[in-house]
Amino acid sequence: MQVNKLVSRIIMVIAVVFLAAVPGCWSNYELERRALVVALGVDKGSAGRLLVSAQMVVPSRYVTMQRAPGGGGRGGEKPYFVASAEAPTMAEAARMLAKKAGREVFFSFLEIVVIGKDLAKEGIAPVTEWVNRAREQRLRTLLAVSAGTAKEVVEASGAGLERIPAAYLRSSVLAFLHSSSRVVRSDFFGFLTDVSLPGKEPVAARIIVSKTSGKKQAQVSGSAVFRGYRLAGWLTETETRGYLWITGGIRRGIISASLPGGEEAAFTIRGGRTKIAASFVDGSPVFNIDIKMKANVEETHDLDLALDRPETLEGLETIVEEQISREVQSALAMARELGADIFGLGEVIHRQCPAGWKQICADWENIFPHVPVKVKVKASVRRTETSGNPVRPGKNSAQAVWGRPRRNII
Amino acid sequence: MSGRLKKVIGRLFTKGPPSGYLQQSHDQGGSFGPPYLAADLDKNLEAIFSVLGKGPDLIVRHLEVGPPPKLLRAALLYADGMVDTELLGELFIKPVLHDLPRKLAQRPGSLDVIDVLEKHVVAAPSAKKAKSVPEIVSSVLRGDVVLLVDSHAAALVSSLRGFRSRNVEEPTLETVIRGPKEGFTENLRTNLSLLRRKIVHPGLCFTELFIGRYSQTRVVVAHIAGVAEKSLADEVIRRVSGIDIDGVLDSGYIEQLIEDAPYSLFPTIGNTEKPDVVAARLLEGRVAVLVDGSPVALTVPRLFYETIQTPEDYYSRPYNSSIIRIIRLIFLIASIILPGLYVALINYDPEAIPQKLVFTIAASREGVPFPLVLEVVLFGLIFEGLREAGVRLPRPVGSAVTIVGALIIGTAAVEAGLASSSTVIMTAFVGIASFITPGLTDVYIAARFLLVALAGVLGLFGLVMGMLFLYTHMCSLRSFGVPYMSPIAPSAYPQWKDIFVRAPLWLLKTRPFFITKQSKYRMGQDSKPERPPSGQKERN
Amino acid sequence: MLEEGRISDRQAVYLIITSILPTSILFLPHMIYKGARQDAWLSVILITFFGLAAGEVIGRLARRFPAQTIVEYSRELVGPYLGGAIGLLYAGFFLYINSFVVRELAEMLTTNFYEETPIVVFVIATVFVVVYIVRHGLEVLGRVNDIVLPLILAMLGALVLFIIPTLKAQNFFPVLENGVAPVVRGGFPAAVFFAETFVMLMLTPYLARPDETRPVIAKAVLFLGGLQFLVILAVIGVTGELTANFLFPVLDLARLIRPSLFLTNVDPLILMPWILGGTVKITVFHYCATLAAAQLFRLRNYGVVAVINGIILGVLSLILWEDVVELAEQIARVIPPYFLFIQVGIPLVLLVIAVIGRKGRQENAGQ
Repeated sequence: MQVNKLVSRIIMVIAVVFLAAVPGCWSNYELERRALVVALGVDKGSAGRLLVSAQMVVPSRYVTMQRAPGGGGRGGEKPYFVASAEAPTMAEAARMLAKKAGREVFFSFLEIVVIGKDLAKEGIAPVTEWVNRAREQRLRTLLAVSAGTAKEVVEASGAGLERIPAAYLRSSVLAFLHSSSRVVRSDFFGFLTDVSLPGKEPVAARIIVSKTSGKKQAQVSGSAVFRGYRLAGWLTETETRGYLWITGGIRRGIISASLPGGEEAAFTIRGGRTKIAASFVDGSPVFNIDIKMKANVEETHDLDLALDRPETLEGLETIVEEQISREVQSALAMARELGADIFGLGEVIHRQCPAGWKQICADWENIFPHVPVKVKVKASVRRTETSGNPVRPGKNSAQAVWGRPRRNII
Repeated sequence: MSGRLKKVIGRLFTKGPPSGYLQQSHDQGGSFGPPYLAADLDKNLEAIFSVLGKGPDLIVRHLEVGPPPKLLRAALLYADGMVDTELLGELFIKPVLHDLPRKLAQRPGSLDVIDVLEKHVVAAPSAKKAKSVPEIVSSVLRGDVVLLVDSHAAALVSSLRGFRSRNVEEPTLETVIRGPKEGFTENLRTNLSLLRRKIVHPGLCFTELFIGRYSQTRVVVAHIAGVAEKSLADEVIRRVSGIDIDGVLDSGYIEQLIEDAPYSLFPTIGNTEKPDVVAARLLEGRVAVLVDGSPVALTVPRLFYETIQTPEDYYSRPYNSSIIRIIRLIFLIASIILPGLYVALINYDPEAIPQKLVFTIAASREGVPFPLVLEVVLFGLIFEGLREAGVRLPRPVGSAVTIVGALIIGTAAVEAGLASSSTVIMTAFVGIASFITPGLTDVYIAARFLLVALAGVLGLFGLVMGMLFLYTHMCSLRSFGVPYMSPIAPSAYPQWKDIFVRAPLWLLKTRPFFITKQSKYRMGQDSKPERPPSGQKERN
Repeated sequence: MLEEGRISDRQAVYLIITSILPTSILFLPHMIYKGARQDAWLSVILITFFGLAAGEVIGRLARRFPAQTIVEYSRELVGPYLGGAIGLLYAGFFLYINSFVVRELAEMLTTNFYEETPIVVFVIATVFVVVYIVRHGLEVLGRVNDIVLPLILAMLGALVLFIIPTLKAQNFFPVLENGVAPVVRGGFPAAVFFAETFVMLMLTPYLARPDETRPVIAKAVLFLGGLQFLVILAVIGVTGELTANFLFPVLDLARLIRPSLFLTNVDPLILMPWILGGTVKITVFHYCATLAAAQLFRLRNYGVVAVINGIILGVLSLILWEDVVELAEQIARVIPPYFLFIQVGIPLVLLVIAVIGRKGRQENAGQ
């Protein structure tokens, strides 16, 4: 009895292993048979087709390469391989890459997808749809628009301090965002969310290719504004920061502003908060954007500045506030000009006055460029980093200012 | 079924060797001659020789004792090498030759010489009368000294055993840094004394059984009455005495013949070489089985969690013990599932591996001629082979072969492009991780390869299904009535303080209830050390 | 006695949770969100109350018949023929609902992880393990679940923890934009899931304390409601408007995590406890189906039934639906009324008959 039971159990174990083994291994690919795609560029191809260029890692070179400044391996052995394919759909083009690579293409390690300007103008829905639907692609993959073609971005070999250009592009977006807040961290998830909302338009990073010392290097510069899936225009870096001020995406960064005497001064952004309030005045929406931020004095060229005086700091606050206002206004003006509500003001009304939104949502595209927006900035400059007043030259110097009272800005 | 039970119960209630040496021999047609001694020395000797034969190790010493002129012939029998000859001369032969004549002279008349010898003459600590030939035969075989006296139908049996055996040494497998270092020896008497010295309570019961048709091995079942469940001890005795085998050479024989799940990969009987471990388990309500000739004691029930425990956990303070236990658990799980996980992730879901690591693995896989599954299995086997070689080789060479062999073969294989470095690293890690919990040696290789096969075929899904299958099997096991996975499953959360971590001793107030319900508390309610009253003033 | 083993109250609570959680977390967010949009969390609260009410019916019935399963006492209540029919209905229904679950799990695996593997492989492997567990009996099932459920909860906890930084409060507003109707509509498909506590109709006699059925169900439902609430909060807060486009929003949450700490993508790892939980869920249902069939035909041993039922289960799950769209459509639109009738309706009718006919143990007996 017992023995029979146990024998039957053992047979069951063997059976399940073989049962599974007999039909074969379906989704099983040896790692070395996969081509790991790290960057993808999509351009408008001939006859309405899509031209997909992919940057793939060559693992053995990636591991053994000597790090050389500016990227690229020794002796021209690049740790990556670029191939392109053209097809009517993304999925087909992506799979056609296998022909060029000689391996099954694999997209889970995709760092960034760059879209050429021409394609972006026609709409990037094919790309987002492909990324969203297939299982290998991730919505957290960065999305950027090339000022020229995407192919040249993918082919550009400059890699900064990274080993491969794709990793460089990704980390430069993140690093630049953290250090200066002049770029948007745009991924497919954010893009699709914004597209799906009736009162918001998406923004993506813009990438240009420059040529330094014979080497092409892609770099982030400003951002691209979309209306729906279509590229509507560009924002400069300053406008991008204005955009970030309004949407609350500010991280760190430097604000440079002129002091009343004409000298320059720099302030570090130490975090900011933005509140947008929507209300209806006479049946039309009005917005109040309220920005509060903190900044430190990072650098001043006016050596006479009395940084130990509260009045001075208050004066500096006004200067910072004005500078931020300018950035915000420039972004607002650009968005109005492009007719794209990238700030999600429509969504603000939707949440705050759902009833009113129902009246105007159909016509929001036309209302947005003329909607009144009041911007109020409150900066708080409270720290002067590790130093107090600037060091002035001593008595014997030609520009001796010893004894001259330090100045306040009021 | 009931017949077998009756036999077992019958055996339990017969005195002396229960599974009959005598009956067995009769069953096999062996002739013992007259079972009882005659009053004639020559006849008796002949009867004994007819059973024992005149082997080279049977020593017969002929004596003539008593006050002259009434000299009585006597014969001393013992097995060579099993008797302490010095003591034999001092405590047995000397008194017989010198004191007996005097005693007999003081008490003239027809005296029972054997009685006089037992009560007045022999100085050895143990001496008793024996009247049957089989009794004498088995006494001689066990190493007792037998004195036959002419015209007496009885013999004096005295135990002066003194054979060579190993000293009490530190066990080689279960070494501790802190805690008792003594280990069991092959001598059951020593082992029992080691236990008695640890638990000085009349509750400590030893039940003696003789197992093995030919070996007649002494097996002792130990438990503490009032702590262990009576039913558990009875069950162990029942199972052990049911064993019918020609010889028991190690406790491993007993283990394999009484375990609950003989087909399972998982051991359901614990073993240890350390008396302190046995004592601790007895105090938890477990039952131990000690076998003469084996330095390894068995303890039941043996539950899964014992795999990640060592005696040292309790001897040192709780913090390190707790962390180490968690590490053991992680390594235990890793050494079973890591190869499968490795295969599943690389072949099916590389996206779950950090990007740079994937590049590295992909680079090292370039040019390797085997598919990943084969590579993992192959190197797993090579590692296990080297490990086994290391155990079998003479000790000073052994460790060198394992380490150097693994290093050289691994490095050479990677350099020659036969294997990827990541596989070699993974295999080495898994192999070493399984050393941390040696209790599951049977499980590792088989379970590992099962999971690798499933992962190779079905990826993570296969791996998970394989794990669920294994885990269900573990949950379905019982060790002497106790669910194998308790108290993990069925979960008894209050007990987890002594499973995954080791809570401070003063928190472990109760015995594991799933083993015994006999005496709930093992320490007083206020066992937490308290700060002394702060009345004292600080002194310089 | 068919089943010798007994499970504790806690194990019963765990079993109920595991027999609902894996699929409810996987499928409900999408279904609820489609109906209720940003107010989906209100639907969850609503549906928890429904679950409690359904549990009350089952619990009261269990108190009247603490030593019998529904297959046994339905004979007693409505006669051997009608009772037998009810028994047959339940034996079949457990199989039918289970084939849904098997297919759901297999579809989830093929869609999200193993595109090229034929679905039949998953079905066979799952059914094999399920039959293996069922043959070991209820006690072993309870023990297996004692570890599986904490694993699922730990995974879920980790997921929510990682996702918290990306929560956006504005996704929850405006509250009740279109009134209460969408909230109810969103909760409708969820009712079936929260009425799955009806497995206790089969399990009550095998509790160590059968009288505890009511609190057991209540605890399980409240716990589930809480978890579902947390998950729906995470889903709305993170994916917002896109939730309606994702088929398995929780998996998409997992894909959105990019813990820069050590892994690039965690979703395959998230999958592992999921498969475990799903399999245990199927096992609970399969156990109920097997037990019901064995009791219906008055067998002494359910080992063979488990295997036969397993084969039927596998075949049903493969042939009943063409594809995942049809499956999802049925779950969301077609089946809820029928399922609810069997899960809650019949027990309610039986309870009424028992109360009127003063059958079974009286409510106040023994107090």
